[in-house]
Amino acid sequence: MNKLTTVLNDNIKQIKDLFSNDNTLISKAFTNKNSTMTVCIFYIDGMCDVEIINENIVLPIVDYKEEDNNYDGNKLQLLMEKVLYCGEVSKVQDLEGALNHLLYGDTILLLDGYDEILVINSKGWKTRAIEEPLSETVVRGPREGFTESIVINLSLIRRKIRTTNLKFKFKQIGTRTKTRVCMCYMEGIVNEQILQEVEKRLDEINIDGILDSGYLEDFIRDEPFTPFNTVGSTERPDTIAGKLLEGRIAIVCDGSPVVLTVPFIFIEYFQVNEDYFNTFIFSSINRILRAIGFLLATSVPAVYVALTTYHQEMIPTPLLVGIYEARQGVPFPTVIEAFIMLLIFEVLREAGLRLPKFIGQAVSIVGALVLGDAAVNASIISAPMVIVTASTGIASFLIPQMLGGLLVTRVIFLILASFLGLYGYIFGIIGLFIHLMSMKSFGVPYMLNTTINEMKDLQDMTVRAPWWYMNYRVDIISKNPMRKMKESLFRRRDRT
Amino acid sequence: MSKIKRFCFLILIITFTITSTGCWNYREINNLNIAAGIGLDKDPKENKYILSTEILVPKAKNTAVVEKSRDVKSKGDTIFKAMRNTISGNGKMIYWSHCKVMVVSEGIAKEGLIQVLDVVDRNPEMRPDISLLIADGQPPEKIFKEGKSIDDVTSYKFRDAVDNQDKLPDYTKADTWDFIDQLMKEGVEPVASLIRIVYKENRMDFKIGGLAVFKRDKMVGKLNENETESFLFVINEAKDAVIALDKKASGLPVNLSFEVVKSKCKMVPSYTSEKLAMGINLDMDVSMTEVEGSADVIKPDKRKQVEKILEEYMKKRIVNVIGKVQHEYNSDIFGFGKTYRNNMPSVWKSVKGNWNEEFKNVATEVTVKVNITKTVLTSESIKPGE
Repeated sequence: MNKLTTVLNDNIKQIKDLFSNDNTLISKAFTNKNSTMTVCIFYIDGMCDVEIINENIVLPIVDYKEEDNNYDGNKLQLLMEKVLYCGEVSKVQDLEGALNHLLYGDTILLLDGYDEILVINSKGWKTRAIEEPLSETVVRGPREGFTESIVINLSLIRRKIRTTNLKFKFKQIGTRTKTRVCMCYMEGIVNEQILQEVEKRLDEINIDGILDSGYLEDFIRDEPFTPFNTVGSTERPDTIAGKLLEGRIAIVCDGSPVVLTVPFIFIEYFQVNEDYFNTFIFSSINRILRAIGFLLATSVPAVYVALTTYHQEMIPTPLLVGIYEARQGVPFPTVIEAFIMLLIFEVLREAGLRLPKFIGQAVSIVGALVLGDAAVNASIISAPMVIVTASTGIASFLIPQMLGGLLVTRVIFLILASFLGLYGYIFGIIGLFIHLMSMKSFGVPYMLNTTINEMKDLQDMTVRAPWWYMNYRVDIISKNPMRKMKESLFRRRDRT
Repeated sequence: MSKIKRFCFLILIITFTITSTGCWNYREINNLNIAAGIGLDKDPKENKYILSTEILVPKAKNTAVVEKSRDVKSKGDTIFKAMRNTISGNGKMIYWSHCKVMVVSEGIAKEGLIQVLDVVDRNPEMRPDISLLIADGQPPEKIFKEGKSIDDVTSYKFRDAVDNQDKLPDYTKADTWDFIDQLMKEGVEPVASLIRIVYKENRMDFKIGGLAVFKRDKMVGKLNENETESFLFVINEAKDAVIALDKKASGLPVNLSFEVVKSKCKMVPSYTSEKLAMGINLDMDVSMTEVEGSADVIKPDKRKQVEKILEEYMKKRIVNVIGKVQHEYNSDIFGFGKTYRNNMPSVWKSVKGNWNEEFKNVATEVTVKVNITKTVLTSESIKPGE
């Protein structure tokens, strides 16, 4: 890119050439009252607050009357310090840097006779209002959710944790989209080794565009081939605040309402933000329900197939008679039946997901009537299989974040059980746990604290201990395991 | 190289674990016929086993068929062969794991039960908790056929009756596994419940009641329901029994019934001057559950009197059944031998060899202690107003 010159018209031409065929660039050249300064401003239509430009940039300059005609100081400095009514003005020397700001909603100002550019913050585009995230609704708890604007998102986090120890570190990722990415962490709680690792991985990303935090997740995660998440994600500021206080690192990506948290361990699937707001007994029951849901969602079809095709002696007689009668006249083997039903369930789930609400109803009617009732009446599917599929499906919705992992596990278990009965199912369980135990997320064992060494490891696992009992953070994730701020944090703050 | 080695090792492990398992059998549930009960008889002329198997009939959709089971008959030189021969007359393989009862004809029982027990014990599909019933003089085939009611599986009804034995100790709960266990033990003989078809008011029904007394695996005699109950009191298996006291027999002004709350029988063996003696001490707590009249039998002194009569009544029954078993059947179903073995091992050693003869001559001394501990909800009889 060419260097800027001191001739204003040359510079204007240069910028206009760069934006040829792009009519969103708006430029205006004007002078001040006694025509001592000729300036030209550029901004992108729709990304700026026009009121700011008119009131705080154009108006003061036009109104400005230079008293000393022979002012020999830096006029650019003069504009910056005395004329413009803007809080954030900076001087940039290279054109490329200025254009980056221009494309992000800032206004750039060129002054005749200077080869430097003033960048004035005038960002002001329409953003979505803060509303409750549809994917994570709560009955009790804050209802605000992240939006697509990183600035608003960071303010939402900041509002929860008002301490200087909350650090925001910006990065720019994506050679073309130049997306702003922010790492948030609590200094004094975060484990620095993990922090360095996260920063290293973010710096290594080489891609032309980041459109959602999902891109980042794929780049920075451990174990790229597992169906289980090794990076957490949420749309809720309160969840992020909670994770930050546990010593985790949040990664906010501009343009995405989904914020990532690392490290992510298996037990976090079962920890829902509402657990921490409800009474601990109720929360603990819900946690246990989710654990049962995990078991059901992975195992019900496999165990059903194993029992009905290999181990009929294990089914209580009245139930066996019921299944025996229901299976009469069904043309497919039980395994095929199970695969058909699981496939149909997944198809219905995926079909209903992206449809407008009023068409979605049609899908559920077709699913319930045609598949649930008609297929059973026509003896294509047996009634117990419908129950098995339905209970599996409902159970998997207890842990919505794990849908992918559950689906893969379920199918593998089913295949094993169809070949080897319960023996194969047990193989599957062993395999699953070897897989889970072997994983790590940013150096933290994935199954951390699922095996109990001390009582304090139990406090936020299958049960949620009352808040007055939760004195410790998880050691490996957080450098500072004491939760209650007695000395350590305060002392630290004094030092810095 | 090490990667290839590890991969080969993994393949080997998987191959071994899959191929070296036990019974592996894929079968669709609707391709089976589920057996509910099995009847065993022997054809004396051909010397072949006759099997009558009750199999479940699945309810077809949208039809009004109410038949729940049907019987399949087959013959064979051995029982297992006869079990397989069911395929030729039935079409589908029969699945035995949910077979709940086995009715054995008296003929086979007298010949020896080991031939039957081995199949149950050895066959991986059959479970040793099948209830063992002996057909009382009737062929098992007939019991399955005529005991059938249209809306129920006959065998499962038999099984329900056996399972509810605690409330009506007219027969034993012992299943095949218990029978085999008793058979293999020293100093005690096994028993099995009897089943028969009875005719009442032009309809036929099954009835389980009484015991077949065995000496080793051969049936030697029967006990009726009353004797069975007395016997079960002695071996501590009549926990919730109901005792009815008739006014004619007792001499009391009213009929009474008692429910046993607690019953504990203790056998005390003794050996003095080369004579074997057995003290049988029955201690019972009963509640008075029925007073058929307004006469007072509840006041303390009256109650004492009732207790005395009940004690005598029970004693008579027990003495009676012991006598019958000792002298008529000469089979140690009470486990006197076991009691000697546990309590006086040296005595048992000396009499063990000749226990067959010695058992007959064991002198028994029966003492019964009855406490009427409660009278359920009311403490008075219903008295009509003057």
